[in-house]
Amino acid sequence: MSFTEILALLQYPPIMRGALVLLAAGTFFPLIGVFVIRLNLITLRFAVMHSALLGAAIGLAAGLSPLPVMMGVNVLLILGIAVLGKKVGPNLGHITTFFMVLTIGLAFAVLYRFNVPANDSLGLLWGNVFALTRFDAIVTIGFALFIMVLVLVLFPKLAAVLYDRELAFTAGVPSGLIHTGILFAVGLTITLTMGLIGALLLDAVLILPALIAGVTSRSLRGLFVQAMAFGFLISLVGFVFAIGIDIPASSGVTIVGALVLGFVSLVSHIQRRHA
Amino acid sequence: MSHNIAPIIQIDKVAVRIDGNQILANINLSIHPGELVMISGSNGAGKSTLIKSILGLLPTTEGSVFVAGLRVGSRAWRRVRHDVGYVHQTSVGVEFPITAAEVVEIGLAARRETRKQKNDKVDAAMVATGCRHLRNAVYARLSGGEKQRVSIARCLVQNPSILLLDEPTASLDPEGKDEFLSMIEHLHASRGITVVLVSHDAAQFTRAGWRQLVMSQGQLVTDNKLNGNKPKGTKPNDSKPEYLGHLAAAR
Repeated sequence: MSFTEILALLQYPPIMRGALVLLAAGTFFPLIGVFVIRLNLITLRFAVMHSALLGAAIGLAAGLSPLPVMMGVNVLLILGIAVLGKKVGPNLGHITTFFMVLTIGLAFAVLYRFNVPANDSLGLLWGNVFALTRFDAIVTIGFALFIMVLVLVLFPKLAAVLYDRELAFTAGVPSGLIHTGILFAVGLTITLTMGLIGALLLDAVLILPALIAGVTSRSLRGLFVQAMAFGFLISLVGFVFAIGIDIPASSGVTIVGALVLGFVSLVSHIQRRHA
Repeated sequence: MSHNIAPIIQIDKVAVRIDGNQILANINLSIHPGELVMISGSNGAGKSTLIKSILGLLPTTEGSVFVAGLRVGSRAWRRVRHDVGYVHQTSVGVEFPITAAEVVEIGLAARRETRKQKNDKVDAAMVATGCRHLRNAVYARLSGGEKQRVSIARCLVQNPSILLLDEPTASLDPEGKDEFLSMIEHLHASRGITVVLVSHDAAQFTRAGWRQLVMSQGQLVTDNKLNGNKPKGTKPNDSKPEYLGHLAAAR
């Protein structure tokens, strides 16, 4: 498909909406990805996904709208992790893994026990960026912008907590509150957007740009700025690539992101060897 | 030093238990403004736990800690807890991208100041500790001595009355340790900062002007005022910790 044909496709509202949402998510969600990577919250991402599935299963079993139940279950999950995290220290790996396994077990138990079709609940997690309504697009873009404003306003405190929670506390930062806030932001981002843009695309725009910026940047400010820049670039190129060879946008963005990560890692490795 | 004025750090009958293990037991200690205090003892003696109790990072099981007359953990203390600068052993890994200036700026994270005000304070603190030239250097790639200078600068931007330094010389060679301690003594003399330094290194006890506290098994067992190479003072009890044996051998 030629570039002119791709541009022509943007005249269709679903394609244009999808492109705008992809670029907004691709540019601003990497800010959350920086926290996921730096605070070692990868397992939290899976725990949130599994508890969203549990929420969807409970919602469908009870005949309720699944999204509010998913949100509610995830709020309880983050609260549980935050409370238990205070008891066991800053490394949340064990707790999030525990919840990750528990929630998927409960989800399948609910699906089986109440005869909820698994496809109905799983379908809520596999969003499609080209199937978004106008309202979905506004919610996703608005949330992406909200994240950027939040990071800008709270940057000094967030930077301190990212660097070292104890030192942040002694500098007067409410580090426990900020850390819990970060957990909620990560959980909310995943819950809200997974159903809209899909789990694969969410991972691609959340994690990959933050990983790439972690290799290329020399400063904390640079880490955030470069994560956004790479996120934008990967989303744009991935979108064009996906349309060009007729594959899902999520696959296109993920492939481009993975290739860029591989390339910068290789260059960094060669530079270190010759330094 | 006259101790007619109120202590800046007051520890009353403090005990700390973690997971059923007694880490600190019945610690009583007064540190007065402007003192240079070195807390020593073998690994597991409770030195770092004591420092963390003073900072409010670890809750005490029994007793109370007061800093500048405010009970640690109280609402009033929370508002002024940045009055204590803290340096610990942990350092970020090489993959963590942060410049030296950004590390120093962490000390100002809770302050509402303009970018220019923050930059000026960061510059002044880095000049005071002789690391201004490292401003844009990647922190993780600095040497142990350079990192400690940056860490002290991070404390100085908080304009602290007290510096709590937990094993700050652990990664330094003898020359680097001497240089670091000279810098701390200079800051103490020029700014009147109270310094509490934790170390397991016996050689540091030869410096004059420091009050020497020795901990063993969660208790304070020695409280000396050093004068040159000869320690003066008395042991609060007859127990002789293993650490003092090493100290005697070193001399």
